[in-house]
Amino acid sequence: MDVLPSNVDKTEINSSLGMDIGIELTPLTMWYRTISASAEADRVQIISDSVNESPCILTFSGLTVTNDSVVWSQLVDGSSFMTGKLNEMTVAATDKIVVRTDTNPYRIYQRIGSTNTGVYQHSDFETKRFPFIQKGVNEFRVSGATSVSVEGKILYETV
Amino acid sequence: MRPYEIEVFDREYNFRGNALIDPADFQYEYDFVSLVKNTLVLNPSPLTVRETGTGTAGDMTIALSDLIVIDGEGFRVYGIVTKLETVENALTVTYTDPIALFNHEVLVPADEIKHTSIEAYIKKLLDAAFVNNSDTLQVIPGLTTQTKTTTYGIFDYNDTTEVYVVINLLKDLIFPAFNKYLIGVFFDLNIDSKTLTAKIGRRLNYRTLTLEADLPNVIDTNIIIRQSNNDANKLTLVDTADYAMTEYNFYLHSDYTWNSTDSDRLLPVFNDVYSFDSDLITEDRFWASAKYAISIAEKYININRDLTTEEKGMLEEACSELQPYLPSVKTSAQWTAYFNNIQNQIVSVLMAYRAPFTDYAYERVANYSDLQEEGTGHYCVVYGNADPYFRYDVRTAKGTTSGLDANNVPGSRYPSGESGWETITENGTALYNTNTHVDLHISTTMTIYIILNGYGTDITTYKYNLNIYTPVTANDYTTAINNYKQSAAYAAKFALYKTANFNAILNGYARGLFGQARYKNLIELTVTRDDTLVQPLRIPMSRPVDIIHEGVTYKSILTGFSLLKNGLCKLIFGLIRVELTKILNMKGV
Repeated sequence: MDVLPSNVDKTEINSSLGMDIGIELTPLTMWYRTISASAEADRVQIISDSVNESPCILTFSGLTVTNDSVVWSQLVDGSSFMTGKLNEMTVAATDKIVVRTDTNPYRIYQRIGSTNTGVYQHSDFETKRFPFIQKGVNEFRVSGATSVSVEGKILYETV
Repeated sequence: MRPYEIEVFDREYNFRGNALIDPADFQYEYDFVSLVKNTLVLNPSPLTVRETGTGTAGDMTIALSDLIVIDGEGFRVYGIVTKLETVENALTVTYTDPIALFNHEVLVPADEIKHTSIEAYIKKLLDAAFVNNSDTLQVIPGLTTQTKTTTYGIFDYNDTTEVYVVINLLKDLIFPAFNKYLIGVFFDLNIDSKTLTAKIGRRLNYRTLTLEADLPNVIDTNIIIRQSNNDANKLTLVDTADYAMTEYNFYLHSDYTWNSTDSDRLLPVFNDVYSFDSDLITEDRFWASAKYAISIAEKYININRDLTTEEKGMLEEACSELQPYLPSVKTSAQWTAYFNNIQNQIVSVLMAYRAPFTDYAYERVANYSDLQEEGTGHYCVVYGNADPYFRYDVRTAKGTTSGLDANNVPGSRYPSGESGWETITENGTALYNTNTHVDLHISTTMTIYIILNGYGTDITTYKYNLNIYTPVTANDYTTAINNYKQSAAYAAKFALYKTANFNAILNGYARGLFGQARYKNLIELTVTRDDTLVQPLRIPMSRPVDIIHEGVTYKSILTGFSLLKNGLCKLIFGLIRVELTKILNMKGV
């Protein structure tokens, strides 16, 4: 859980017990656990045990396309859940395409070397595009990719 | 809950920027028959206000007139940005539904709408103002319009003594069309293809949904009744083309049905009088109706399943003017027969009415009813031209030329190209789906096929008994039409059409006045946005809904909704007046 200290109290120094310091923390997020998975293939699986859907970072590379589309999809427990598409993309095999839903706002960018270039405007805006890890087996597929990885913060409800 | 995704596009649908908003902070209101402005606050805002210039793709800016799209869980709303206000880091965006773009005044001939259907009339005015306007800045990029149904009726300004009137497209035409006739303008936005399609028509064939307002998942129920007792209950129509000034009366009865029977009347009598002109049931309109019917029919011919209720309804609406010729339709097989019937019945009319869009028309040279089986040396002729309903294509079976008299095929048109059926080309250009006129002399021994809407593989499906035509000159064409118009066969067809439409118009006026659809009263139901029982965001606008409350059923339609801040959704239903009056009578009010 990410927190922000919101109040600090201290007692006077006591000869036998020393000093008590009470810190109040304000939670910025729910409890979470970071998980990740990667595969040198065109798909990768990741399993979540939380009923909350969780934002994540989907990264893939190995595509070689010239002025053509890039398509990814998410299946949950074997059923199609989401598809994303970028149009008119030119991508080299060493480039990475990154789709992030852990940021505000969401980002889609192409990493060429160490430079990130936003490619959100290439979106097929009629596709859902944005990956969120669901409870169960999540499989991310990218047609033509040779490497796919996903990293997410799995959020948990607590009482 | 996942945040709602906001995306901003400029007028040309180029992406500008995106942002997220907490669903709990998101409010939205939609009303089908009024203009509503919505606001949302981005704090902090990743988008900056673009004051001048056109910007660049993905520059994270927003400007007035931009398109804003909000993608929530299971729903999408959008609007045109009308106001932007920045206070420190917070940006307040005000936007309206695209229907607000039609808040525009035009000068029209006062009785023009009597010449055409309401839907076609709305389309015509929208096209003139926003699609084909010579002032290109007034053109709405990507806007296309489609009519989905055909309904005849009148509006108040049709009975003015002025020849021309200024009308507001929204307030004098589109909203009243919904209130009186349930004709709506429904938008379909596709960012990827950069199109905003306005579909104009009645959604009559939705099945009625039943909602129980007393179930615990309905958080709040609000019934607003506006009592009224001075609505017309008698309608008198006078045909101005009839020198005897015959009156046609319709009466509203105590059970709130209406017809021309003078019994079981309501008191006191409030009589509305309208005039109309039966001479406006013209041959042009007959022709337009036939074309429209065929255009709808083409979509459903040979589909390999039963039609849905909605599809059947659409076909019946489209063909309503041709009803005298047509049986009712229930299954796809019946539909195919139905289509054949239309084709056979009206083909001769259509052929005679081919608009002079070519230098040639066709003179009938023989009745050809003995269709040969598909085989070698047969020709497939599709009548048509620039008019999408009559595409002209000439094809022949691959590798066979027997039966084709090359001397009778002018120009360089030879079989070539694709497998199976081949396209005859002219100077290397395929003739099908072009505007090129082809004057093919047809041998009376050929098999003639008509292919509608494409070139199906099952060619035998499309065989029709047809007359064969050969090209004639423009003068011959005019003569042929005139001769045809004077024929008894034509007179009989048109008389049948005219009578049927005369009655349809009378009924249309009565329907407009007595109102199946006078939604002056309201029911509001509040449920959570994600209520799985009601599924509030999945109910389409204008869907008929029976709301059961305290044992009484209220007939209504969905006309609006509000997304409230605390995750709730308020559904707004218009309530049918006559039904309500009946309920009030039952309750002794």
